[in-house]
Amino acid sequence: MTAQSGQPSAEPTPTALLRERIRRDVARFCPPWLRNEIDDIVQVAWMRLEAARGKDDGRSSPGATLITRVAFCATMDERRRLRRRREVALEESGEVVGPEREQPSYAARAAEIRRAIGECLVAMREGRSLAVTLYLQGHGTASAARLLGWGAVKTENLIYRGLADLRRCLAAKGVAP
Amino acid sequence: MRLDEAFRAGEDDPPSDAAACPSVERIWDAVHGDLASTPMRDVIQHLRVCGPCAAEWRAAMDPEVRGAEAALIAPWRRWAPLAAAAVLVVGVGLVVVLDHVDHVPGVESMRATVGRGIQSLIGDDAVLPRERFLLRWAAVEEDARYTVKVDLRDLTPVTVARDLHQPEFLVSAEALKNVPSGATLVWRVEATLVDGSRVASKAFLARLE
Repeated sequence: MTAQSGQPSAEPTPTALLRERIRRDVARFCPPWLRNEIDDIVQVAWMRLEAARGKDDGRSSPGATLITRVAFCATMDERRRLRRRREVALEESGEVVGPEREQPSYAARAAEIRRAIGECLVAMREGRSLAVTLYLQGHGTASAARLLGWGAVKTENLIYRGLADLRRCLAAKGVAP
Repeated sequence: MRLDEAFRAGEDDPPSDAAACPSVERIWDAVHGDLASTPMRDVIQHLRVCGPCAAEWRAAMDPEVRGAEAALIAPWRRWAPLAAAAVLVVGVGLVVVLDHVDHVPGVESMRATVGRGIQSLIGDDAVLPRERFLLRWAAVEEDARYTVKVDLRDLTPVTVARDLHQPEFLVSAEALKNVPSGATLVWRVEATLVDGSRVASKAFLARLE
């Protein structure tokens, strides 16, 4: 029996594998309220990836880092675009989870605290402000030190002092997280 | 609400100045350390006042790194359920062991989380001289600050020390001048960790020689 033409191949093609990889990365970065747009985002990411590969005539396979970066950028660009156009009703989105967050007062209080934290960070000495911002974003000492080009001890010290400044500033504003 | 949680709550807020938002490519490159010093700082400074960009930054963080960093920041958070169970167990234990303390109003203020636990280094049977009534405990973390409260068994305050950098406190002879020899004192420690969270010890006992 010869191979039957028109039958789907059991082996996925490199292109199909690549698209699947992009889809996985896009899904990873996609907030719940954006999930309906995944197909479009994957297509945009694919085109960007092709454009990037076109620079070397597509001879080389895209590295994992490039694929992930393209997927991230395509997803976040779409997120920004939709936010700007207000095409999504965020209050109805699945992004807001948890019984506490369903209360409007929680959102209002969180927004107030977030603003106050931002104001305090802006008013803080630059080094402390940078270190604390990264800390609040979830970076540990080692990671923050690497990004800022500082030593670990210095970074840790700045985080500590910055957090103390932040608490004092928030207390002065009458804001208590 | 923790500080980091409050800071991250702004991802749904509209950017105060969308035109100032760095491109998503720039955010990605910053997160991965691929920017020079000045643009790196510019991006981080923008995060302070822009919840959506801060959210994009967090999304760009490598999940494995993010997990590892979370462990670096607060290793006990991974054990929160166990810690909660430990708090319950220790709380029950305190009711039994320190029954004489439990029914006295005021003791609750120092029985916060016993998450990581603060261990006394002098033991509960310690008999300390009046001229060197030195309370010592195991450090919780390098930069922790400690508050120590020393009371009589009836919770009459003897002394309080705050913002201690070292895991020890020498109760002055002056503070002990009205405490009769042989009296048992109750002392408790509360540590403030670098991330702002607090850990309280159980109540320890020490007798004045």
